Amino acid sequence: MEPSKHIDRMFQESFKDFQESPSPKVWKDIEKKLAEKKRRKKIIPFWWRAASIAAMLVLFFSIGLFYQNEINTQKSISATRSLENSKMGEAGLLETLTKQQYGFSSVNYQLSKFENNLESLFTFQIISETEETVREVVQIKSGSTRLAQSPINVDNMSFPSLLSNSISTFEVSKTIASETLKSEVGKKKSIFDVIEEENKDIVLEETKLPHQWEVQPNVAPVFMNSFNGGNAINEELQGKTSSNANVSYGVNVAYAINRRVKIRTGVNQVAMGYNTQDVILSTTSSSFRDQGFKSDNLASKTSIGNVSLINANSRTTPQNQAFSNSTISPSEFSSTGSLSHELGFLEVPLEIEYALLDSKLGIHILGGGSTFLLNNNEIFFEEGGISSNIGEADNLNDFSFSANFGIGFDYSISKKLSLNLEPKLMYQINTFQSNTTDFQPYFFGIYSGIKLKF
Amino acid sequence: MELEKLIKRCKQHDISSQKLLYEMFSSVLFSISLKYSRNYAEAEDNLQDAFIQIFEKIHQFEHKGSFEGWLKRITINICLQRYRSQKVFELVNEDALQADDVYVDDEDYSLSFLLNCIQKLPNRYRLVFNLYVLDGFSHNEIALKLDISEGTSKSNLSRAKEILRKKINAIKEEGMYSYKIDH
Repeated sequence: MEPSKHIDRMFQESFKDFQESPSPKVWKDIEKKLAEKKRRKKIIPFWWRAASIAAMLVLFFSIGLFYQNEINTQKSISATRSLENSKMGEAGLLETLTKQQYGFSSVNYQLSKFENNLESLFTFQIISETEETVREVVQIKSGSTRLAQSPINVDNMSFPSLLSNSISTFEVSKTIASETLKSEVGKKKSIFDVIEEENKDIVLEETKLPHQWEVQPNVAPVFMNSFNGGNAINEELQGKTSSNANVSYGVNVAYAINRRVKIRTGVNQVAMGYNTQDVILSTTSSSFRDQGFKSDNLASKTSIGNVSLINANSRTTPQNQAFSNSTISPSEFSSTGSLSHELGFLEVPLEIEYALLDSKLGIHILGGGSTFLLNNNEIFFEEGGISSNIGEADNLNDFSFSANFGIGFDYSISKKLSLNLEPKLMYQINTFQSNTTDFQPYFFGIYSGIKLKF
Repeated sequence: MELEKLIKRCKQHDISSQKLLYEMFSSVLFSISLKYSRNYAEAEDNLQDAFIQIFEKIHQFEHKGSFEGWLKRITINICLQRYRSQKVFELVNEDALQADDVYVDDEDYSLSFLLNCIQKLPNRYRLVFNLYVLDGFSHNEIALKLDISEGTSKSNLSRAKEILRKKINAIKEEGMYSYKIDH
């Protein structure tokens, strides 16, 4: 009987130099997928960026134009009409004056003016007759004084009818001119009325304004960063920290104290996070914690035991020798990856808004503070495409505050509705417990939304 | 130096460099994939996914450790991702079983037989056995990777060894020496 051997050793020895080549089909499939991805990558970033910007612009302006058109058609129809009428009336007035000054001699002017301006039915009648007749008309026009004072002897059959036509045209134009003059005077009055009414409206609005409420649903990409670079979980893990683009959404309510100042509050859900590259993760037995070895502000999941994080860049430097000796034996498989900290807050802001410009395009500045309630706190370790939840940061305050500053732009679509864009910086005051980290985070969001006023 | 250049070119998505890299490491990584997968076909699928992941993430590799180690970790992770979600039903308390001293007769078993034994293990037993015995991870690390407790990892390992021992002994008793290497 053969001597027995430990099963671990048996397998380890057997598989020590185990290598096997895959079939050529594998590379062909990989090649195909890579080519596919390359093609998609080339197309997507360009389209993605261009399309999103274009979509935003189109949305912004089309909504604006749509409403503006509607307002124009509703409100300005009468005004435009009266304006047109007044123009026509002006022409009529001029003609009448000319007529008065120059007497009958201005018939031709009157006629041609009438024809040009109103494209009268009579002109078309004349033109539609034979060329000869037209020539005669021209003759009549050029010799209008003769036409009016003493009828000219033209041997033409159609002349009498032409003459009568011309005279009737003149008669008609005269009446139309006087009518338009009348209507113009009437409309002019109405324009003044309109202006007066609008002024009244404005006065009314101004008195109404201080009691205005605004509701503003908004959404914003949020970027978290730190003023001094550090890391919240372990101060050793400095540098290489980058923010994930995250999102904040919620509703704000504003109350206008007067035309310039508004006070506002609301509720926002803020989800954000940051990544730290080059982190070595090693798991240690609980004895290390008992020995007082704990530099991480990390509460790891109990099922796993304690987790230590070390900056991969500092591993070889002498001052960290003790660190690496005690925690890991850097085998081939000690995990170097990135650490991702995901945070969620319920934000209740209290801010004051001061309007610098209050017209169709409004500009305002804002300042204030926010209260944050922590509602998500998870730390993931990502390595080679796989991410594991390794616990949560234990140095985060459940309640924290921030100081907020921002500038906002409003584009009003109507009296009740406006589009809003608001870049805002929030400096977080006590998100992390004092003495645990130098990490001084802030976040920056570009809030956009629709403002409803009532 | 040569490898560094190759990595750099792979970062620029140069297909001929990617092929060269594949040729250099495919056998090593395929052997890992074979151990962690249930059969040959799945091992090829996993190897393919691993290389896609490698080429996608290669810009993250910053020459701060063994490149081969990095490749192996990605390959293992791809396999773990595929099988770790498939839970095994545990009828007995997993913490109870921790018999560590499992011995088999010292014979020259064929590699294909041993590989087949590993591949036929239930998913999590296979993963734990590979991670602990063949790739040197600690129970702590395994627990983290598989999202299980350390105790579960230990008991899974014992069960895996027990199953393997039985299979190896059965072969011997049945006299099926076809698995043995004759050379």
